[in-house]
Amino acid sequence: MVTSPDIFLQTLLNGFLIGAVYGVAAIGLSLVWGVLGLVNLSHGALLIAAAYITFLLYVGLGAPPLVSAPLAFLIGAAAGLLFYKGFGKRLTSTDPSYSLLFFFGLALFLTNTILNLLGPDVRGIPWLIESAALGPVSVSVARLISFGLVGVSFITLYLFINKTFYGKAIRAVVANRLGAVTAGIDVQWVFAVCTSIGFGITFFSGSLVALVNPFTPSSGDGYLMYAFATVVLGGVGSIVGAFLAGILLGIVESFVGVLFTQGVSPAVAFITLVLVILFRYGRR
Amino acid sequence: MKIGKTGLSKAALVAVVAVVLVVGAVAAVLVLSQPSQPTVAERPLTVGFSISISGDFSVPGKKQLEGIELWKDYVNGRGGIFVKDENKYYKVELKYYDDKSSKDEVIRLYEKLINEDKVDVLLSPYSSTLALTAAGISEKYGRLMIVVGANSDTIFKQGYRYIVGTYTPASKMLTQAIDVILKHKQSPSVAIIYKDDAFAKSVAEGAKAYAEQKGVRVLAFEMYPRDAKDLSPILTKIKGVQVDAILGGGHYEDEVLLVRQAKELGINPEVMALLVSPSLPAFYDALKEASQGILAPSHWEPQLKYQITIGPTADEFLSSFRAKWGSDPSYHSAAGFAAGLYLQAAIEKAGTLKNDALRKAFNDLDIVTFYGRLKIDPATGNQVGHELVLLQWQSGRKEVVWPENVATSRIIYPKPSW
Repeated sequence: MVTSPDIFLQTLLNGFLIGAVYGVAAIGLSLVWGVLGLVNLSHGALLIAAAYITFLLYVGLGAPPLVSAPLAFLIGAAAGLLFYKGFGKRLTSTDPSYSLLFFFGLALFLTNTILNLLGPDVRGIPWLIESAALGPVSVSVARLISFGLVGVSFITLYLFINKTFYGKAIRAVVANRLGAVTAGIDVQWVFAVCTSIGFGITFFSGSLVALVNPFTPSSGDGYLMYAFATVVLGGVGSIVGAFLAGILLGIVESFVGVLFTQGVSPAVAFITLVLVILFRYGRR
Repeated sequence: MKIGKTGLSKAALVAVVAVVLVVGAVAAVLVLSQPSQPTVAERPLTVGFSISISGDFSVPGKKQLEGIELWKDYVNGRGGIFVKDENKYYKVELKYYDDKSSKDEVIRLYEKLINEDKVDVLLSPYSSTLALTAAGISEKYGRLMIVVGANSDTIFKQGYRYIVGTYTPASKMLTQAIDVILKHKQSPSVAIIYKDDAFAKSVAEGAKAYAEQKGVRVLAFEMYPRDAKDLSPILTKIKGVQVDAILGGGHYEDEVLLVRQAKELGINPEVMALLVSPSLPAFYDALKEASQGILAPSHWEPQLKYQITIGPTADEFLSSFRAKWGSDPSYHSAAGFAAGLYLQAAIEKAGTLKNDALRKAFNDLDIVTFYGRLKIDPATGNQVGHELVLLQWQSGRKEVVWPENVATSRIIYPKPSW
């Protein structure tokens, strides 16, 4: 069906824009998983909680997502810090199965709290549901804005992790926890900072989800699934990997949907994932 | 003087006695054959069902339950249901449990309703998935079940002999939208896209069959995955083929996304008809102006006025519903109430509570309630009398626009360009 270059460009752009959202949405999961060794099963629920915060700010105060996304980052970062002080510390020192159960429970708790407080209705932010023409292709204005926000946040995070002393400490803990301790790095401090940033970026991406997509209290599961695929594809703990993997996933899905049928695109995305696991992790 | 001669003759005496006896006998027969006053049955008539009070279907499930409960009040307020063979009025009692929107629970609960609670008749749970499960159990025990809140054609294709539908079948849900296009356009083309689930699939297949039968070109017939967070691939494909109408959908989140992305990608069909989400106010809140001109089928709307043959009028239903529940009814509530009326009509017609006779009574029952006409196909039990209406969002208001004889507003055609 990709008969014209216009459709090819359109498909590429569509995939790229949604892929960037998948990518940034997976960074929080990747960071907490890589650094603390905790698989955050409540990642999707947290993301949707942030989407609801963004929605309430829009409906209550008329704040556009452009303003609420940075705010969501701060709320998330504070929540992450509190979470680490309250539970995270204990979870890192127990059997991993306890932390899985804990996060699963947290996800149920969050989803049902939202359901009870705000109801099951589909929500969306009717802000900038507009089309812009980029040459021969049409593009969603909201998705372009979200891409801008993704870009800014990604570059900031990248510079923090790769160019600062603190970032170096974080990378050291990902690479070798025991080695980092021996070198005098305060692992507890690194854990706290990473949880904080991880939750912050997750909330930030939840805000972007609210900007581009409608959602319900139970939408988190779908995002969790994509985030898992993205993290495994990109490598646990790698923010650049997560980001690029998200874009790859978006583009693959987009082309499969246009060339064949969208009904099979999740299957193709997950087959890609299985192949990557086979070849990348299989030979260790 | 002979006494015998002065008194009545023997023959006359016999005659008098005979007359007295005959009169007495006739009087006795008359007294006995006089219908005795109907009595109130010593036990209630129990209507059993499971309903989703929690889980995925809890919202429509509760709305349906509210309708059924209101029907119970309505019928009991009028003395109950008359069963002719027993000459008794039965008060109605509901026996229901929360099925948590789960098939496993439905199996357990319907077994329990039949074997332990020994209910007289069954209503189905909400949703096609759960109703299909319950229908298997109704068949196994030969128990009548009114199917309400479920309309997948699959339920009625199993050869089950004890089910009676109340919703217009899924396969007919988008046929009116095709009628709308045909009225305004010569040899139109459509794209039918649907979510990967049983309900949306039967709607889409029904729409496709109807379109082809009417000579409408179906240029795209595509499914999208359940958890799709991006529908631009399917829309890009449609953009490539240029259609007059986009029909389909599936659930809430995906349909809102579909409208949003169609606008963002600059796809401008003359008709866009979706399955479920436009009937909710949240649809408008999430899309605002982008909702303008979008069509959707509905089983019932409060503005509709039918020439009723049984039960309350729409206004009576509305006011009693608001008085009891403090909220507005949805079509789920209306159908729940109507299912009760339908059952009531069948029992009064059959004059018995025997399930076989009741099911038979439905075959030539044809009633009109505030919810619309109800009549089944005798062979399958599927609903053929009830008709849908089409809604359209017009400047933030939801109007009935089709069929034209019940419309509350003129249809906006074509849908305004975004």
